[in-house]
Amino acid sequence: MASIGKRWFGDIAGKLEGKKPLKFFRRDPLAAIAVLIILAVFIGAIFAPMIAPYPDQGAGIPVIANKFKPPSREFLMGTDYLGRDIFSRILYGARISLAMGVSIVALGLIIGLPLGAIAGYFGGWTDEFIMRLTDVFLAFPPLLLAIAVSLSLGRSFTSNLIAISVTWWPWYTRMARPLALSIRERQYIDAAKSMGINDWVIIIRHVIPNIAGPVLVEATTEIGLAILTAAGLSFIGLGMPPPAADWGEMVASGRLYIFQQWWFATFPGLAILLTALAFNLLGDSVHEHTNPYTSGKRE
Amino acid sequence: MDKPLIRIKNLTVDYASGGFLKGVTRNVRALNNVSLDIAPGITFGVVGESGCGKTTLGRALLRLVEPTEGEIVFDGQDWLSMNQKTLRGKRRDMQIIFQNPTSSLDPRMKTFGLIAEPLRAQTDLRGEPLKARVAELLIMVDLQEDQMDRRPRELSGGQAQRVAIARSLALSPKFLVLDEPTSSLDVSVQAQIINLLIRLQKEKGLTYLFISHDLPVVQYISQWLAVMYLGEIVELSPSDFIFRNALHPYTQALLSATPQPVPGSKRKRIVLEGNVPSPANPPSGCTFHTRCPLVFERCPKEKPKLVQVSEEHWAACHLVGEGQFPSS
Repeated sequence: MASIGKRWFGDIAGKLEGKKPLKFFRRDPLAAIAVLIILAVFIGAIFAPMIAPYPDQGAGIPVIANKFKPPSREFLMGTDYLGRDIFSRILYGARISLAMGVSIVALGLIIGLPLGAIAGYFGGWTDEFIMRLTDVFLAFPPLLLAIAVSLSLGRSFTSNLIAISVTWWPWYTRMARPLALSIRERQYIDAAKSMGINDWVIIIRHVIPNIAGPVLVEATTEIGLAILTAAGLSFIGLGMPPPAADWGEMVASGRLYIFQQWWFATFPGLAILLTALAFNLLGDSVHEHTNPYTSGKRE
Repeated sequence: MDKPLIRIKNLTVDYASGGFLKGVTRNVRALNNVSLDIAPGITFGVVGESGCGKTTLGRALLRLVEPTEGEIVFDGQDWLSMNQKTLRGKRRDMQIIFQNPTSSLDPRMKTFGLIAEPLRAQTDLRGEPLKARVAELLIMVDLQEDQMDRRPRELSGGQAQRVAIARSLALSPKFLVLDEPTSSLDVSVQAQIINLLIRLQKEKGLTYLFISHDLPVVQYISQWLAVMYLGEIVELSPSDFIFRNALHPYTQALLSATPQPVPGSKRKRIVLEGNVPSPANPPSGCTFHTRCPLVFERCPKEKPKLVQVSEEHWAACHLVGEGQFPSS
């Protein structure tokens, strides 16, 4: 794992590693808080059945007698209109949100990165074709296209993943292409060509590993945005089918009771907000630390 | 000369400059009508200032750029008409070593992977035999086997260049293009690399095209020499002839600029005025006339041909053509 990290993140990992965690906290407290929030969300998601006070309610079993209980020691964040513990539901919802965010970005990378590498490496008509294709996908308003795709595929994790990924991958293609353009001019590419190595092998073995680092970092920081988009889709009723806990859906059903049972919509909303914000803050910090113009010191 | 291993005839390479948005596309002629034969087993030196097309010549030979015109016959085969697939298989006979090993070696690969790469692509060697072959190649270039796990940035410049040499020898080529293989290295390491290259040439019967701007090194290693200026060959002969009796004023100026090992030796320094003109807009007539100390009326008007002066000596200068040898 460590070696994969080094291979793909390369210099960026080199720049970040070796900095003491405490020093990092003091120098960039916002990023440190972001890291803590992200860690907390991940732990919550992974260990939801163990952490959640009411795992069965988190999974969706209603307890009508407990309907609309305000936050208390018994129900940390209150209960919803079916009497389910909201804290447990949020932990279970974290699983869906994170899985969705990570899958969208991963799928976007799997499609977008190689296409960008191919466009940049070959240039000419191939480049033109791929980039115009990205233009076509970018021309649609992302949420509108996602709604259309999601409606036609039906409500499920996979259909939402596809719906959002359709508008997600072109960004990675656009990011990868200029990097591939510059790698193409490196002498080790000429060296590989002169050894008689096929262009596709050159792309897989030399181009993609050498452009993956920056794109991967950028992509990681966009998980927050992906979570937000997925939550938006489920807010308008295209999320996971009930009884699954889905942050966007929880906000949507809670908003009817916002003035009477404020906790119902507020806590899932905060979960979305904090998670997306944490990824964004982390992204900003990574940009700052890896940008030679703002990071100040270089070795 | 024996039957040449490589015969280059009227090789011309144009680079397109400007784009369709910038209006007219203008071609930069990086290599203009270059012809030369390289006999097997020799080192053929190519010298000239930066931008004179010597690197383009090497790249065109490897078909890393496609020539606009001309002919290359390599090892009895028409090299330029081969399709990519046939060419990929034949590439094992012609390899290149670049100037800077830190950029010609993929920074993410280890020594083993770097040297094994051509073997994996072109041979069936895998597993233990592959490892043995890589080890053998490492020893051939005076590196230790334990350097297999290093990445290029963990190697010194000289070691990295040795890895590049081992990689280019992996497929047992017949012909090697050496594109300034020592100019990015420390002086002390340069000599080691040059001697290694000479030793390998003797052991393997290799033929080299040695591209350089370092005249003493070229004199040391090469048997034949072509002097290039703005994409053209201005003088061509066995290197002894040129170092003893350079005919072209440009060659004379180049020679006079090299430091003399004997203090107080009386060679007059010819200082060339101005810069190399842009190849995008070359001067009329003889391209060297803007800087030539011996320029006369005919030079800007008419382009001198590469004329045969003696059996193995060609030069492109009106003075030579008229039989008035410029004195050095």
